[in-house]
Amino acid sequence: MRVIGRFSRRDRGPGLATAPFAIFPVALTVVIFLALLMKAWPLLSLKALPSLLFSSTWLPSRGHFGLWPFILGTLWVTMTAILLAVPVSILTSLYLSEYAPVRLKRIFQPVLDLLAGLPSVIYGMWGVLLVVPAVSKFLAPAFGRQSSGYSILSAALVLALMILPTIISVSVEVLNSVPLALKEAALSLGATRLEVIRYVVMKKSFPGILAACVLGLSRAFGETIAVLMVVGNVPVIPRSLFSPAYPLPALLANNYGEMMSVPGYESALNLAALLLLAIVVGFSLLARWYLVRISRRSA
Amino acid sequence: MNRPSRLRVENLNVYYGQNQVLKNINLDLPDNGITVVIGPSGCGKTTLLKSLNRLLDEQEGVRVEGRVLLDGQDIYQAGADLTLIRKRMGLLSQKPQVLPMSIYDNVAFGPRLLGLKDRKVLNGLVEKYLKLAGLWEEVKDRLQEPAARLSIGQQQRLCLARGLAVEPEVILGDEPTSALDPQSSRNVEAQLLSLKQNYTIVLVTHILRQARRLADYVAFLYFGEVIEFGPASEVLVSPRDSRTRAYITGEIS
Repeated sequence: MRVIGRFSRRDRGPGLATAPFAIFPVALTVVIFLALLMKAWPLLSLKALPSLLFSSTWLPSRGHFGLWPFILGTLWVTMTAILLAVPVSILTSLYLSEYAPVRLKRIFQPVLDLLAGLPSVIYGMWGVLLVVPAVSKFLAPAFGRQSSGYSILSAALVLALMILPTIISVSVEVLNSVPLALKEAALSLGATRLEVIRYVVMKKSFPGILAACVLGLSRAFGETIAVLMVVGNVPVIPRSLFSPAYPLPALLANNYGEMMSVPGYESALNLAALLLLAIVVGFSLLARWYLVRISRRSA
Repeated sequence: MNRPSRLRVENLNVYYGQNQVLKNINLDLPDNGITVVIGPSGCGKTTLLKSLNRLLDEQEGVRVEGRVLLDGQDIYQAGADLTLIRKRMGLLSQKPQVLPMSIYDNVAFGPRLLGLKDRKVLNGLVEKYLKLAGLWEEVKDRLQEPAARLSIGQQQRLCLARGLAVEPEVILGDEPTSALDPQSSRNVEAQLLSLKQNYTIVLVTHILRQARRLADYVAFLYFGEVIEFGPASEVLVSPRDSRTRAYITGEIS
């Protein structure tokens, strides 16, 4: 007797041939992680990790490599962008999936795909030309602040715009996958369309929409060039949305390959990269864990 | 039929774009009985059913002409209250569509939409309608579990209970047993038979044996037209139209 599920001899060959390619991406992740860790090790062996992470003094020439301003810069910019993008995305995708006429949907989808595929440097330039002056001249004064415009808010606005198409596109897909028959069931119980959306569609789509937001979040964490162009790149602890910041990706892109003669500098940048990787992976894992938890609870 | 029935269809025409799906339908659906709509697939049975509680409105490119009268009121007249109309007709779909919430909340969904919040009253309603749908004994100890955990057959009876909880006058069934195993089908059929004293039931099916078991009246729909409509004993036993006979004997399907 053979165990069910085993491949026949003829099917084994292709299995063996494709398996190495499946291992490749996993192996690559591990290799990246290890390479960064190795490069960061010289600094880590000299100083305790907490003193590097939570110190806010960044003076490479004097051997101070406090990464706290960069960590905070990343979190501020990304979180503000997500807070701006998520409500807009959800409302837009609800409109597109539940209310918009077919003709509008047909126009919207390609436009979204186009926006999602625009090179980020274009968003960055648009940010410099429009968003930065707008923040400096209108938004900051409106809140009684002074700002050069190169600020967390500018970066978050540009970033929000960049991740909108992704979140909307995936969310619409998720909302459309709610079966018409389920909506009809709720409607025939006397629910209005709004009630159907609130109690049925949103509930059914919540995990998918959350996944869409996490996708946007990962993109926002990693986005480099567009943010770097408008965020000011000053390693200070951010005090408000109008102050400049220096997120981790910008730090890496601006400095890696330069000033490498400063002792410990390369090591510090590798640590910063490792940190960015850890933050992104951490958030994805958190989201995944949460998704598994809610899907277990409801099925 | 001497007195006018509560649910009447007059000169109903339905178009999907250029395509006419229902052609000049006239039906008096008798109160307190089961009217079974039979016919080959794609002949407009489901469309007819959905036109009765205006679910067709949810689809784009559909045009409806004619009248559907519920207690003398045309449900298609301008200003008709859609949610009220739909509440007066419970719907059972082909595959049970449980709402993504607990068993209890599924049954309480309709009453809650009406603004009912009193826990005691809701408890009573949930029990009453789960009993009416023949599901109470199986679920009374697990009311807070997600409804998706029930078997398909139980889910369909839950949908029945949920539909009854809004106290409709009409029950519309769109092949409600087609996804169920034989035992669950018999369960649902038994519930429908016991409910017919109090409700007008319209059932779409492509299973002739089911029609024989359940129908008081039968409408035979063929390419969007009602070919024959009358008491089950006449239509199913000695049909007048040759096409009905052909369908019943299995020559066309």
